[in-house]
Amino acid sequence: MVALTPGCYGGLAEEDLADDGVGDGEDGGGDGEVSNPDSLCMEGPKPGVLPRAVRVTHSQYDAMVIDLLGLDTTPSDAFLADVAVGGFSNNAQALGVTDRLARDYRRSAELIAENLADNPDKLAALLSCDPSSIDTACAEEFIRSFGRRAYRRPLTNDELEAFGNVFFSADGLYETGAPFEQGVRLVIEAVLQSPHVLYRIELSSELSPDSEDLVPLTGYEIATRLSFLLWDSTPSDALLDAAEAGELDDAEGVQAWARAMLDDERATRPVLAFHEQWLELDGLDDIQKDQDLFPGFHSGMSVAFREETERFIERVALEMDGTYADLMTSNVSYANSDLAVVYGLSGDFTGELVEVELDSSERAGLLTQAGFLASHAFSNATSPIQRGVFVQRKLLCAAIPDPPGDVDTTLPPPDNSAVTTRERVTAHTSAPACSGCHDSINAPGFALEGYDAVGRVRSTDNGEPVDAASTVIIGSDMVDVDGAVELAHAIAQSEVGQRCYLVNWFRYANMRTENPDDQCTINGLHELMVEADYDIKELMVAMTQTATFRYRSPLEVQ
Amino acid sequence: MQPFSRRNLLRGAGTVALGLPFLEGLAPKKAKAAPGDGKGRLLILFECNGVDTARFWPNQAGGTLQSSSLTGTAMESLAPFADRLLVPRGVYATPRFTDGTPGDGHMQGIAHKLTAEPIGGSGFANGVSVDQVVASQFNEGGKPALSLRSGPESSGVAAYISYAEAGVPSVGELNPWLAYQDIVGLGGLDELQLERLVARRESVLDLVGGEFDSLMANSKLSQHDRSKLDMHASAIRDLELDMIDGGLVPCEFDASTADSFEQLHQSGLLGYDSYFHFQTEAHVRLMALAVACGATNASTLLLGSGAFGPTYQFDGMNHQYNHHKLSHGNTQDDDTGSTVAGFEDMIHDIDRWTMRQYTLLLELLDGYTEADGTLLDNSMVVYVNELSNGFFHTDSDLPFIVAGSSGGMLKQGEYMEVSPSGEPLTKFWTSILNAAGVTAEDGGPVTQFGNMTYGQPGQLDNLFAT
Repeated sequence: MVALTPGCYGGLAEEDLADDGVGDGEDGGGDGEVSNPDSLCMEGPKPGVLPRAVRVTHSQYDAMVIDLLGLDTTPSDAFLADVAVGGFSNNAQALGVTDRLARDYRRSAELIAENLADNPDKLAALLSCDPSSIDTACAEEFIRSFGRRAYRRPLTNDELEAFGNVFFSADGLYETGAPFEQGVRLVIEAVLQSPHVLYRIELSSELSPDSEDLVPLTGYEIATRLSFLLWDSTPSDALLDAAEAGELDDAEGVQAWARAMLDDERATRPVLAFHEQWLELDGLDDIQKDQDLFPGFHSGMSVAFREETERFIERVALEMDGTYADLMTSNVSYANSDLAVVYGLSGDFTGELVEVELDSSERAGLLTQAGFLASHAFSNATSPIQRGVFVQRKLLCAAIPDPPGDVDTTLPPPDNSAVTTRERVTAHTSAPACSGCHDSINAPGFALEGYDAVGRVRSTDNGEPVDAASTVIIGSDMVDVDGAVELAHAIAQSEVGQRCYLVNWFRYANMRTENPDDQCTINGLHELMVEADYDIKELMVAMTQTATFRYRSPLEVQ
Repeated sequence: MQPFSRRNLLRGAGTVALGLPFLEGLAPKKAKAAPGDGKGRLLILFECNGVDTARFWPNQAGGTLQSSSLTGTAMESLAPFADRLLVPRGVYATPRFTDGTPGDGHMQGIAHKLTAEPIGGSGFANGVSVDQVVASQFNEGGKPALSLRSGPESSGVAAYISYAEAGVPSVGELNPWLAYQDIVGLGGLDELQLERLVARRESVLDLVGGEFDSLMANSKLSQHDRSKLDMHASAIRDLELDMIDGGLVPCEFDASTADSFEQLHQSGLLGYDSYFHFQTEAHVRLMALAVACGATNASTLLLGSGAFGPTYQFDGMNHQYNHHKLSHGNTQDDDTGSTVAGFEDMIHDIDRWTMRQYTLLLELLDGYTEADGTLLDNSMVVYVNELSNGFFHTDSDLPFIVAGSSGGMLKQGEYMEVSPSGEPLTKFWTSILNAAGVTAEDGGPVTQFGNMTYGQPGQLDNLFAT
């Protein structure tokens, strides 16, 4: 899927680097070159190989705590951080419990159970009887229903018995609380450390009667995949009921549930998680600028920048039923008093962000938002190279390697022959050893030169007029653009841009990097999405309809 | 996997709760190749961003280290320990290559220092670190080394020095109070509370451990899944072992020290630069206790992280710019700002401060007495820096100091050049591992450590006592 930039020297793109060294490297590699993709479709799509036990991510852990217990906390703040692979921190093979994470889980489970005991309302919401009762049937009912939601399937008789033993052994093991409450508390401590909760476990292994490449999943396993994709969390009781009733056994049933789930506010979680990771929004935290050049800039603006971009994504993807092109080109955004200055907006603004409409001749989508522009710049100057690398790598999935270690990446100071940043970058990167990659990197960066290091529109650079006209390499096409708005539209309309967005979703949705066998599935998805105008919600629904989502491979991760 | 054991849990708890005398049977079995072959203890204090090289080293020619030669240098506070130090010059590293190794200069240097490996495809160092090698041979049950870090939360490769294996960093605990509680297991509780907590954890572990056992017995799981679950299950077993006690002293601070740790935790200010010195001092105290009480035989403490802070505004320093900026003498991390006047003096002040933390660690270890010397005598406490000269990102003539001789294995009171043309990091760590008494798979001494593409096999014989 990754377009190799013409002329860019051989090397490893971040995807390749990320792909190696994870697990045993047997996942087929992320960027296989397929000479004849259509031939792979002849035998029908093949699901990719996934581990049978996939640890929940930290964001999923936090969401589970909210959805299972009603406690709005983020315990994972204190956890050993997840590791990102290929840009996404939900890689099924990379997620493990190493180092102190088991201890973090224990600490968290004990604190959460204690927290719940201190919240009688939340506790009562889990029970069908009064917590002061000594009702055995009620205890069993709690274990059965809470256990089913946490384990994402009904507990076996052995499991019910084991939890019953835990429940009834708890009396007297806490300093406070009625015996029943103590039982609930200890059960919760155990549930939150169970491998069946901390991992998504799939044990299906029977081949489909229709294909030797497909292993059908149980309804509960499908419900789990659905809820973790569309809610970044554990399934609801209703979804588990649907699984039990066989409603998820065919693609239509899965689709109906996917649509309903996207209308739930929990869908905000994966939409934000995906875009935050794809667009590397963590880079918007802690932006610093030169106080002499940008005297009004303060560190609090980073927070507003990020919030603007997140609200924009949520608005486009979920509220406007928007498309990929809307993400790239919409002039709707959010501003507070700080952002109003960056965007040159008049009117009364406070510290709170409000929806605004920006000048569509100046601003189009994510690339012209202050957060992107300011985070891909130096503290005192723009960086066409940082911006251009982002466009090629993240938006166009081009394999741009890091510069060789012995290259001096510092731009020489301006002189008579190179006054503007564009001229200096051109001079510094024009040697044949550099230009192979920089031909594709610099052009989109130059198209963004009409915005300074904090994201304000500018017409001059170092006293000279800004030249934002360039010929951008988009896949194998050369596209002339004049400025960021044209660049954004060109990317939005390109198949390369659309497919790059799609492939990133594919990686996120399937918790792995793509391999040559996925070409057929990705091509099919692309055709579907072209028909649907690359509507983002439709794309998320389409992800649930693929064979790779609804089935396991008969092969195992080695 | 081994079945989960209740016995360890209860036995360990009893030791803490009832203050039972040191139980011989629980003492870690030192897997020494031969008697006298090192004490299996390694502590590392790791600083980033280089030093002011002009005023770091002793003011003397090589030979017996004179305490007077430390006057006016960064190492001044170490004068009382001059006869317990080995200061080698000329160790170099080669972490930054032109062959496509990932990471920037700081990431590569930090990932490399304790592993002698480059960053691999995983984005992390491509091998185990020396502290974890020592821990795996000398800690009870091979329990991992204690990893601590001062500074704010950071998940970047430039914030990891310790590696359990290739691609698997051991992330430093930032909160000394939480780390202390992990070490004491159940400190601060009365006997009844302790019994209850042990019973609860036992109950949970019985259930969860049983689930791990039966999952891993499921033939449908691949080797990948099984080893992943086994790693988790092993970590849970380590939690049981955490409760075992068996060192020179109980794993407990006196009440006022414990209180100060808890107050630090309650402050909510851990991770802020203004608390960096409190955080660091608490970590240093914890490190010394953890080794003294037998909770671990290996530990690292990372100060800050590469290409980053803190900004030193305590203990007489009032800097405007963070450590990384000062190391480059620039007001901006990306060197686009203006020069900071007098930055060398500020770096030197930071070096002196760091050396005082190192001195405190030595004092604390020297305060514990064993049959054959103090705990300091029977350990190696190594000061490591990411770089020598931070301004140029120099990786040659790296600042190393080794205090303590691992029971007489290493030279003491010596300032020396390792060789006229320098020696690679790989050989330095091979020497340290052998001095610790680490053995290779064949039971003999370690012959090489790290990546031989960028280093050499063998040890530095001239570091050893004769």
